[in-house]
Amino acid sequence: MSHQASVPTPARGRPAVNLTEFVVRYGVILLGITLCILFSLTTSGFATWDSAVSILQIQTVAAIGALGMMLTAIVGDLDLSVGAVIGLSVTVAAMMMIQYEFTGPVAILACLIAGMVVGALNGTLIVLLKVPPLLATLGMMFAIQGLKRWLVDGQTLTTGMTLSDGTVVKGNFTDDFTAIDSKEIIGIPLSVYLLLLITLLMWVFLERTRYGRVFHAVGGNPEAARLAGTRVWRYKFGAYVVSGMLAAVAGIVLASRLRQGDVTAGDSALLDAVAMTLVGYAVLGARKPNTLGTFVGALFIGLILQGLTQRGMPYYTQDLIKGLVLIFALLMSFSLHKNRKKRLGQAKKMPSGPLPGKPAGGEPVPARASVGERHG
Amino acid sequence: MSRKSGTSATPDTLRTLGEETVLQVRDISKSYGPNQVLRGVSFGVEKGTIYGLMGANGAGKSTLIKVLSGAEAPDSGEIRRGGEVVVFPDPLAAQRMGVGTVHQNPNDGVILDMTVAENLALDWLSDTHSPLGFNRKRVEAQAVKVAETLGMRPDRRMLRSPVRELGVSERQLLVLARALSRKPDILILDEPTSALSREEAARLFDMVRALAADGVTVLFVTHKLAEIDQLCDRVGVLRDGVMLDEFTPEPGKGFDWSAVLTVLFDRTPAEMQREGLPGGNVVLSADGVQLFDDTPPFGLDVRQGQVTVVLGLLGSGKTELLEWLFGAESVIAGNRTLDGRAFAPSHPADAIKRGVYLLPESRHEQAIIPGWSISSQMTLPFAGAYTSGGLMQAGRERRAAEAVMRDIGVVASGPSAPIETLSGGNQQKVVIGRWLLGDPRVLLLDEPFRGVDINARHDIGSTVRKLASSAAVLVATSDLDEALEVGDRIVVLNRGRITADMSLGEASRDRLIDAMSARPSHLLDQAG
Repeated sequence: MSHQASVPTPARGRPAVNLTEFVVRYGVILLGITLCILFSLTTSGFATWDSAVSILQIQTVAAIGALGMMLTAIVGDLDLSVGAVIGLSVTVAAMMMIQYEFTGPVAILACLIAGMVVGALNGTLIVLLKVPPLLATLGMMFAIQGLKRWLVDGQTLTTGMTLSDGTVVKGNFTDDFTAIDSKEIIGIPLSVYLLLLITLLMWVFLERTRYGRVFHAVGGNPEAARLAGTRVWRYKFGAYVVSGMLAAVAGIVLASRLRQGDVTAGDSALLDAVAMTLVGYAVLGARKPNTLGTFVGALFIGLILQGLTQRGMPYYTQDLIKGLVLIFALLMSFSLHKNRKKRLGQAKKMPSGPLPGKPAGGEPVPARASVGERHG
Repeated sequence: MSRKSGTSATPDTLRTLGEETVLQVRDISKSYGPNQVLRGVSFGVEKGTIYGLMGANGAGKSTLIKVLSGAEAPDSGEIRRGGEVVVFPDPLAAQRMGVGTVHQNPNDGVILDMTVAENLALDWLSDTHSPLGFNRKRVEAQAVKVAETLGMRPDRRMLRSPVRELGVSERQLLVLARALSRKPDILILDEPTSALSREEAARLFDMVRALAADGVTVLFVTHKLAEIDQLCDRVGVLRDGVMLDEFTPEPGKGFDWSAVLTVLFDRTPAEMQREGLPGGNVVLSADGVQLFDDTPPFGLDVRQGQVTVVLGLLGSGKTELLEWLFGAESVIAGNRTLDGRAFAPSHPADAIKRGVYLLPESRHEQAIIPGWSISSQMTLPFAGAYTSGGLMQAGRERRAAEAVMRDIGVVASGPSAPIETLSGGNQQKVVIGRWLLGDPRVLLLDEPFRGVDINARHDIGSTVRKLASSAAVLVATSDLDEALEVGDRIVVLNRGRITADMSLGEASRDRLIDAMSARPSHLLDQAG
């Protein structure tokens, strides 16, 4: 690939021949392959087609959410409302089909609209009202978790249940809707194809189109992007809308799997998505969010959980393992590099717009120690 | 330590150094990646003397200062203090060993949101031996003590106001007071007057002389010949990372400036003479421009066929002016016209559409996308022109970038090289070259020579001059020599007012310095 924003470039004057550089680049992938072989040799039933498909299928929901979150990470933020929107989407799907007896496509449309609205609200809070992204999306997360409980009176919405006002809901998850996660083509569920398709589209968009290029520019240096003629706020806003909509898609897949309006659904997907996005930083030494990395991150987490579960690891240790995997990946990204101090220094050096009290005029910007600073 | 005035300077250059040599630098080299900035710098400064350090932009001055102040470790070479080799692992260590440094940008030395008192007392506040609990009274008492080293007596209101509300020169004085309160043996002043008015500069000079008489050794970095004449016992000229020559004033005559400048620029002063071009049609015109609340509006026409330089110190408003012309920032009032038609960009995108391009002041913070290749950096503003069926055409981008690289002489392994692998000068060429991919009508260049080595400086200068034949070029700089080197017409901006507007032929160093440093209040006095 020629486009440097998408591809890590470890070369800093010297070719990347040393071990650290190698580990940084291929560590996650090598570890993944090693674990794969180890599990295959030691765990019966791991090295099977069903097992592989199940890894993918289990990760699909969080992975689709992670791809949206990744887009907000690319513009320099992080959408923490992804998990809540996945849950909201499950609730909306259940309400549309079970309570109001709409068809599958209508339910899907309603979910997408809900996701889009949340994304637009996030975007408005962050872009227009200048709320810091993490706080804005955190607030949105709580609000939506509350909203979805309120929508269904805090209950799990299932066919035939009685609502608090006495009505009995008679609707059903339609077949076309449940097919999303259950219908298989050549042994692979539709939901997995959906994940692969979204990954591919996202990759093409981000790495091969001008808009994707500008998304990277906005994340790399928003001020430089603005001075190159980018209306930065549109891209930030867009990132949240897409993130909201992808979270809604993830929720549709989850609803199709659960076939009921589970009020706690999607809550755990947030941490999974964060882990996938951040593990993605470590893939091929990118040190920044990227599509391929996020996808590999999903696989990596999936295969570790699958392997350990098949070896008898209890389900309640899963969060611990995810957390450790995440920390391992972050170490790969940020601590193992020979220029690490400089890199971190640069990461902190966010171009912070003109200070309110900025003295007018040509302020010599002192050369700071950062990668790429070359004084002549 | 006894503080007695030092020995007289020996006249021969790069001489062997005597016992009284307090600061001795031997063979210091420093590279950043592929770029060797210092190539074996050696010099010595005798106790109680003031040593002037000169060098064109990019000669390696700032790097040398960083090495001497402990901010950067040299790749090789040694620093001796009073004959002993010293190593500064960090700036704090250098400070403790008696090397005080005042950097050019006072904002590096102050905490904008803290009060004047807290800033003055910062060393005391961060000293682990200071009492755990403190109150405003103690902080202010400490602050007054620090201020006294500069002979300042700040009143209570001043002490309690946040530094953010202070002018640049006051900030500079704060930093100076703090540096002096540490009682350094060696004081490094990096262009300390760039933010000061003439009176303040004169006060600073008196102080520096008194310090030197007291036995403090001073390394004084400046561009300004007059300052060296007034202060220095010796001047060293740094060029391309080597201390090329040293000069001492001839008795009764001062420094031989013609010789100094020849070494400084590698050309004789006569060769630097150039006729200013008269300029053609007005391309971009601004009128009723008001940059600050308390300044009157002014007008400015930028013509094609000549390079117009806006010369002004820190805080003069030149960056505000350029960013406003580009639609990136707003000013208090003003109208813009481009080629006779109304021009009111509200976003850089609008300006770019009309062919008005800006090279921002700070390359790293405002122009470069970290990690990107040269070709991607260049095509960013015009990404849409390199697509086919919605997809980017990497080959076309590369070819376009290659053509520009050849045109302006970017030294790199190829258009796919990450920009970080380039030297500062080549990076600057890339971010200027970006705009050559468009169709420039007006090129606004804010400090285009900053952090650029001398060869790149010449290349950029000639690119800019060449461009002026087809577009209007406006260069903002705070450097007098740069203004004289690249400009055909020089407009001096002094805190939001135009205090001089002259052709190259009319411009002289003295007139420009006068216009740059005069305080607006004095101008008013003269006018009234």
